Amino acid sequence: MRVELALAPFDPAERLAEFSRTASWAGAIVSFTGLARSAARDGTLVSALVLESYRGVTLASMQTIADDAAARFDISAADIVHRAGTIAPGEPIVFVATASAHRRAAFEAADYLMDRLKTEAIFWKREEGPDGNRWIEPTAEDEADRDRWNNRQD
Amino acid sequence: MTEVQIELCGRLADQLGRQISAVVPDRGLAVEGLLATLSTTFPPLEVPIASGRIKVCVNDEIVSQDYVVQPQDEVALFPPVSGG
Repeated sequence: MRVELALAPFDPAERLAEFSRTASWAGAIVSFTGLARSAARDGTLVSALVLESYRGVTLASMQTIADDAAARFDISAADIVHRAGTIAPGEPIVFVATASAHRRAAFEAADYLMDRLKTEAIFWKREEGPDGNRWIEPTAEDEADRDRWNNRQD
Repeated sequence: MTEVQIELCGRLADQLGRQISAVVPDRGLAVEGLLATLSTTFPPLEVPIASGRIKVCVNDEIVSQDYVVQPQDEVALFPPVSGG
């Protein structure tokens, strides 16, 4: 499992190419890229997204989530990159890739990783725009997405 | 008695800036007592602390209410996380 906190923009395509090379034995590779939007949920313009992290604690929280995914799903490799700092609209915020022998485990592990990252990773997220700045917390939908993993057996 | 620097994360820093300080006795101060002191000293922290949703991070670990903060500890207050 590779887990990285990126303080500068990264290229998800490059990252996926590298992951695919190292997982050349896999029967399935799934990847997800999350991008910064130019508008908030209520439609107001966002000129930048600021993700604040805290020293080693943020990376450790990502590592815990990655370890849980590895223990829960039959995946052989995963790659997680998360940006911190000031992110412009359109830039990647998060990249997750998983590799497994068969597709289901790779799909589910990627989905699980994202649901946990969206609610539990140690970040504080602020949207900045012409109308001011606004701190963001996980929505009820984000939490319901995360909680559905607690209600099922794999 | 030692003045311990406390880092404020996320929205907690909006009004007070990133660093505040609190006096910690040489024998230490339990997290519960530290939060009570901060709540009184820094009014913008009163409501967030009363909500019970503030976590205290000491030396890169989130600690429980009964942890005793020592004068040399590196302390930060975490509001609820946004997630990634």
